[in-house]
Amino acid sequence: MDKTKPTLSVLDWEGKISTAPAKDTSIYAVELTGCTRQFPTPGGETYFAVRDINLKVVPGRFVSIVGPTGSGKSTILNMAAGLLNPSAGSVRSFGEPVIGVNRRASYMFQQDPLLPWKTVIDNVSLGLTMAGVSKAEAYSEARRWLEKVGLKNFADRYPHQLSGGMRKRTAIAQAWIVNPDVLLMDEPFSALDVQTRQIMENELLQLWQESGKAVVFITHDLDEAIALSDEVVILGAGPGSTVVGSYEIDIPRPRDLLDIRDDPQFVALHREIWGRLKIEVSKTYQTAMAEEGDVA
Amino acid sequence: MSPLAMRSTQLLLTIAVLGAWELSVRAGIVDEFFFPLPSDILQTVWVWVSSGFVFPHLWVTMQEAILAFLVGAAVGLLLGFVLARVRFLERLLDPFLQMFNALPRVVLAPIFLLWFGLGIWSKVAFGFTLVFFIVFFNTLEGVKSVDRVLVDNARMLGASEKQLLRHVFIPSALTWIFSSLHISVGFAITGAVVGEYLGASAGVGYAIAQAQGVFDTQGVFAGMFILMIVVLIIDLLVNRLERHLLRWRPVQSS
Repeated sequence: MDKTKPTLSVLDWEGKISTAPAKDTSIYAVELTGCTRQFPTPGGETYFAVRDINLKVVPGRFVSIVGPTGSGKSTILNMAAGLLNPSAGSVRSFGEPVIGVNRRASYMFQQDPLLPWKTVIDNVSLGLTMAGVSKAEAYSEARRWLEKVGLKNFADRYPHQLSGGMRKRTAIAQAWIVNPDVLLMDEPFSALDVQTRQIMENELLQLWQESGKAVVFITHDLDEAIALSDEVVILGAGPGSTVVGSYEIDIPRPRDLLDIRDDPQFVALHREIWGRLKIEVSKTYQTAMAEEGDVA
Repeated sequence: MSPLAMRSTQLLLTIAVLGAWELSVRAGIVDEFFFPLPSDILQTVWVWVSSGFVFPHLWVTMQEAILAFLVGAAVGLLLGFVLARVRFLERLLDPFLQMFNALPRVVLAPIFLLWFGLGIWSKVAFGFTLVFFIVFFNTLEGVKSVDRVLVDNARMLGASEKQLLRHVFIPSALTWIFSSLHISVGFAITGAVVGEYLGASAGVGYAIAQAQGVFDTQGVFAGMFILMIVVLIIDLLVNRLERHLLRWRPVQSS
């Protein structure tokens, strides 16, 4: 893997920003500028998923995007990943326009992304072997990762032999082993039960703190967003939603996720952000009710 | 019911049916000309096998079936993958493929006899038309129905188009292809035998047609019996191959 690690220079860069703001565009891990995405509907009309999205993620930062149902959260993430082209606007990663898939990024999907016909270790080492790393080397790196996520005794199992939490861990190892500079996560833990979910969130934070990678994390759960992030971005009600607010989360790290919900800082931030999000959520709800009324 | 008890019951059922057949022929209820005694059929089978008479015929039939299967599966796989990946070609060729698939294949046998002669190639061509469509449609469906997330994930992990094919599309399509493998192997043999029956100089189908020509019903039944056993053995082998290649699949509890 010849992915460079710009994270080491984050501090230099933060020092330079006041003196050389012109370098801006080359340094954001993810930068969406004026991104709009529309889809044709079966009825021949145009459906705007998101409109005029501006999002800047500095390397090493954990940014969550929260929005009501149908606010185009996944659309934004897919544009950042290069899996979806914006209809208008530009997507850049470390200053380079994203053409095809974003080579600097890994993606963690909401659904199960493991290849069912490959064993755990073959799944985890896939990114390396496809990049031309020798099998022996890829396997030893994969073993290291499996140990990290607590699955070293499950290397030869097939995904269907694992629990949901174990599959998620395998997916984490699979996404991190290629050492991406950006991690795009689309509600990765939403399918897990509450306890497993908290454990996974804790493990994710630990991994991330050691790594200094940029994370864009999609969730509809405001608690989760505040607990994990440096910044929470709120999307408006869809369709054609856009960013309606951005909040700095300055709760000191390392954070203990099991107790954080009682932290007074957490409570205050939650109240403030929920105040804004609530408006969008009720708009979405009213639209849905109105549509239901139309149908009835 | 335990597996052993089930097997014994199945054996009893076989004996009962064959015994009833044997007795009703001996009692004169059923005409022996149309339904020869099971014991006589088995004896004919034994004569065919012990004298070695049937083996050259079996070998010819197997050659035809194997060639028809290999060529049909290879072309079906290739075209299936290409059409699944290139939307334009799929839309272009779809009506033609549907047309040929709608054609009852037996009507092709006479024309193949004219084109390819009495030898094995007319049967291979005939078996090909049967195998090809099954493998083709299953491959097409298999590749098209691959989980979007698996493809996106592999692409994010850096897969090239070739690697996508190797790690995602082919294994995924294999499940579909294997579910049709039993049918396509059966069709390859059907193609060979029917082709031989309609015109040939060797093969089990030819042997059956010869026996029929001299009103030797024992021979017809003996040929059927031998084919049945051979197809059963092949099906068993296919099962083992399938179990090996699809070992990653969760075991379905019955």
